[in-house]
Amino acid sequence: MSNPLSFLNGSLHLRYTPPTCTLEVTAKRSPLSRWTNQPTLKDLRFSLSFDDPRLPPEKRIVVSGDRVLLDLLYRAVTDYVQNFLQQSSHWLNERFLPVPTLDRPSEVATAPHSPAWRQSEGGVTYLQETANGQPGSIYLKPRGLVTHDLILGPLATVESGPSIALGAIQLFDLAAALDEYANEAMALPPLEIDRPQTRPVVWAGAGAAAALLVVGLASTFWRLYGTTGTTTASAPVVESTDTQKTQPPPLAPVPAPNPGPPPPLSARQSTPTPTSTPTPTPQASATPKTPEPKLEAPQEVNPTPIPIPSDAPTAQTGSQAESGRTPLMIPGGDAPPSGSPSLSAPSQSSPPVLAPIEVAPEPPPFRPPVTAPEADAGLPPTLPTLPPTGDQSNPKGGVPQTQGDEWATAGANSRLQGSGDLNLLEEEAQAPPSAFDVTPQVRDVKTYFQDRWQPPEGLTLTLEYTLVLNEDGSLQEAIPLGHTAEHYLDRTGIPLPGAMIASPNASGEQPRIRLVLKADGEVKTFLER
Amino acid sequence: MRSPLESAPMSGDRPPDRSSHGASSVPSRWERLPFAAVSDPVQLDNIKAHLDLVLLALETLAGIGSDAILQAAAQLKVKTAIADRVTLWRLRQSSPLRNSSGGRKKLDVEEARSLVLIICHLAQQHQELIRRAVALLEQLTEQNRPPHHAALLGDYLDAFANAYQERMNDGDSTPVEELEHLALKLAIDLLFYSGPGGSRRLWLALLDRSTNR
Repeated sequence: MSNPLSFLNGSLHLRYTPPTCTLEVTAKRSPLSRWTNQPTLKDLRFSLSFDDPRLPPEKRIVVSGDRVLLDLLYRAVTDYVQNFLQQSSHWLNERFLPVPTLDRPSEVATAPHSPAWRQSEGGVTYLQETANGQPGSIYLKPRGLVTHDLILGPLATVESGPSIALGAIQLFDLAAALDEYANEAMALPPLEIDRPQTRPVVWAGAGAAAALLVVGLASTFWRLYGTTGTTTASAPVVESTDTQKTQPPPLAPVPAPNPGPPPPLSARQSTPTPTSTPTPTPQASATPKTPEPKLEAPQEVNPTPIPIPSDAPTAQTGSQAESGRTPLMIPGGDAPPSGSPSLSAPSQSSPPVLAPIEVAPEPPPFRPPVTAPEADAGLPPTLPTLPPTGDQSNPKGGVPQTQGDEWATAGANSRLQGSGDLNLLEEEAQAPPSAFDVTPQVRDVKTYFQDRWQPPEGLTLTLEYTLVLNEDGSLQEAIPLGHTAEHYLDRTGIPLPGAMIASPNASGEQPRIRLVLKADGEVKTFLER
Repeated sequence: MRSPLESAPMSGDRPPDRSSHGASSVPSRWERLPFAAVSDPVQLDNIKAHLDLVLLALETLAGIGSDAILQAAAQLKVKTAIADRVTLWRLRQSSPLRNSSGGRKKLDVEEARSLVLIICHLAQQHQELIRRAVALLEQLTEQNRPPHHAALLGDYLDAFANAYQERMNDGDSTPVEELEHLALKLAIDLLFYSGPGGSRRLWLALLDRSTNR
């Protein structure tokens, strides 16, 4: 699938067209670009069209949303696919290699987010439902071996209904499109992390503002013209990048003999409500109250018409973007199908043209969830989907919190470089500068030790070390600061020199990072220089 | 005692041939860290069994033989791990499901990684065929017809069952329905392994298997 990446008329347009779906991502060029040396994007929106070859074009379903929803969708799909693939492992384990240490619940779902297992007709155990079946969230659940219900949650529209039935091929294509977008998103500087505590307020405020605006406009319109003509506040400004064709390449592999559409609806999720997701309800999409107008037509890229409060726009330096791409190299060997970028080959996956782009308003896509201890900015965006274990299964709708402050501060700090925007300055005032934007290894090291630091019994003091890293992210030297730190050195989890504890430094520097290990388990890191 | 995966080169001391496929010599963190926790021989056995079965599905669905596997190894420059037919045979024989497992050196991380890369490379090469097989399965499932009604699937299921029964020590005792389910599931898995990020997906699936909860 080709991806025509374009940056036309001040808008970014990414398009992914596997045979059975089309994912389009657009963003506008922010006025901030005037004060920065790099293009800055805002109002990132996506539109996903399910091009089921069994359905006529007019019946094909389109969902759309902003970056938060795209992130949620990505995580839901990626996690589900990984769970699905692991069923083979589970089956093998149970069938052939029962290990006494396995405590995976084979029959009983003990918690709402635990995988539920059941026996199929053939006596084969397989995963019945994925972990994130929260009301109002985006998730998938299997229906047999080749059908999967995508519960749309906040993405649902009147046309789509609460869920969409995806075949295995459709799921594969959707996962591929999202993966490819994730690859390219890595070329963008990491964005500020979502701030769950503040976002609902922002959304609520935006929704209220939108509602007021709509009411005001409607009443004005009514008074002026005395008609019932609906004045939506949207009046979408369609970016002039619609020259691309609507239909994906006709690659439908096998014509479906059954003309009837697959059962698209599920009885569940009839009234999804936002829970952990700071997004409007699907029902709200039918009204102009939502700050996130739904796209009615697949190609109607609809930049948010209402001035949504720019929820903490973020900018990151190009160096971070560079380093963020580096670990993509590792998986290796993924020969990308038909020119599509591969996770394993960053040189293919990330067009350099994207590197200097800054994206302003949305939270970073595909940040590792808190359940992934190894998460860092250098990882491929899909890493958050490390095999979820029974006790690890976090709601996928959740947003990383542990790193939220870091990302917020990182974004804010980098914005200080050139922004004269008053709105931004207000937000920057809340976020102290940090060095994350210039040295992602600082965050890597923090992530590394957050997973390992177990305060020894009796420790009351804070331990501090200077870690000197090599360019490749391996530890060159660990220097304890003070006698206590020296005494506890072997209990800190600091590895021997040469061990990899961070992603490679894109600029070839050897950062000196201060590591602060507190007795209460907290880990802090910052750049010494 | 250190596990073979632990003692295998895990980080900065990778052999230079790792840097093929446009990748750097820096190992992936997902590749490096979780495997360090794999120390249980049973878990290592699980990885070997899983890889062997995925290869079996590839073989029987796409008609891939050891020649193609070795060729892929050469293309991917992982020949140091899988040098020749004997090495490959011994690797696969090490699966605990095999009739005559044992007597082979332990799987190390480089070998596991190489097999992952090879599988995904071959799956990508044969993506169209795999996709067609899955599409047929979808159709037949919708129509409530057995998969054997499509020649491609029927041949695959027969070949998979035959190979399994011939090579695996429980081949005769495993119900055919189970084998067919496994074969179909592996075919769908292969589709995902053939796509972008396939090697990462397979790797994580292996880890989940090895570090099973």
